[in-house]
Amino acid sequence: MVLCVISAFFWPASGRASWANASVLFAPVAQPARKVAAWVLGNLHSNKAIDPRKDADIRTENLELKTEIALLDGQLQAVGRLAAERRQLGTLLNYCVSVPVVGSDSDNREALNLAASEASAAGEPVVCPVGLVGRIQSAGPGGAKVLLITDKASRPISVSFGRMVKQSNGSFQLTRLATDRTLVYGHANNELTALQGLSGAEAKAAGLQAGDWAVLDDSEFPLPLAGLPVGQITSIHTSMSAPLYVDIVLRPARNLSELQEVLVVKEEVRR
Amino acid sequence: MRWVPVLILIYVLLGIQSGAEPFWTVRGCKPDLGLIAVVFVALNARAQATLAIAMGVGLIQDLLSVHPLGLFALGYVLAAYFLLGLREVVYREHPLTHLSFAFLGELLVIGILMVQGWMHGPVPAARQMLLSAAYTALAGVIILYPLQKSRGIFFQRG
Repeated sequence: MVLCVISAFFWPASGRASWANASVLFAPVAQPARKVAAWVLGNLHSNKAIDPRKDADIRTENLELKTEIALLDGQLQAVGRLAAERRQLGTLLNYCVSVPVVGSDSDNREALNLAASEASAAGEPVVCPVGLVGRIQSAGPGGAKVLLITDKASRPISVSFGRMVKQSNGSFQLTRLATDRTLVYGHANNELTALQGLSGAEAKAAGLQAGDWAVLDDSEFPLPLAGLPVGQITSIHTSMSAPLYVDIVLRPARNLSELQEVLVVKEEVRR
Repeated sequence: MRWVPVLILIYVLLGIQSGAEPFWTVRGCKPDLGLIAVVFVALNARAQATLAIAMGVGLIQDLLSVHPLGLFALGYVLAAYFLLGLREVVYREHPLTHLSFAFLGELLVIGILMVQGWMHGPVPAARQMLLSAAYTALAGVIILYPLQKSRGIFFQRG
């Protein structure tokens, strides 16, 4: 009793810190009791909120909120589609910087104008989720210009051919065909051509046909880009000027002039 | 007195108080289940055992509260001492006894808390404390009546 009086009235700060967690000892009873009490209280009390606003105001606000939800839902779906497209690039995405397209070239060249980005430098490859787009021709503080692979002035690209084969799980996988590497050139109008690229015998032996894919196989491009789709064969026919060879026309999976956003492959990858 | 059942009862009451207190607090007023346990013991056990239990329960209450160590212990021991003197002249089974014992016991505890508050601050609100005493008295009737009916579990007869 004396100790209690001393502790309570004359030394009130004694022993507080060391007993700070004494309530833990009662946890086996305290926690279930707390849950039961919360449940009982939750069932007894209705959570009716008193709102001073008029019904008409609340309805108007509801309508505005519904519109906003619809808008946000649309934006979310668009972002989801974009993310899904980007995922197709796999690990390559780690080396890329996304840059929005400002517009196409003002004359009849196949080029895109990109928004200003510090990542852009002349010569850097540009890709999109469905394949190769081109190279940055010039870059500056105001933006960058991409020369598309379909432009006639773009450098020829070395490609090899393959065929999309459906797997048992429903996905498609590219199977390389037994052909030599071929140079393809920009042909404008969103097309590339490989004039006299392959001998007719080789193309026939490999079974090359319309619908097959040309994929990047060029040492001038960074290694992670190897195998990136360049275009799909739209026609293959015997060359008029050299009958032993075939002319091949390719078309990228998407109209490159209509892209809204491209991915610039960083300089570090190129090294 | 059967110590194990009594200690279990005290543990359960203090555990319930520790866990569910926020849910039955009304305008800052809450029942003191520790004191109700002391009243139950004071109604049935021998004096020494009652004082020991009061001291123990009070110390545990001190540990569970922000008050200095010994404050509730002192209050509970004083309450138990007072109730031990009164129990011989009351009918122990009557709910009015439970009500008055719980109320008087809580008043003594409140007195101790008020004195400590005046000495070291903050001073508790007297009105709120009195309402808490009334709340404890009501809870005392609800808890003590069935406990008294089953006191054979906790105390030897005779």
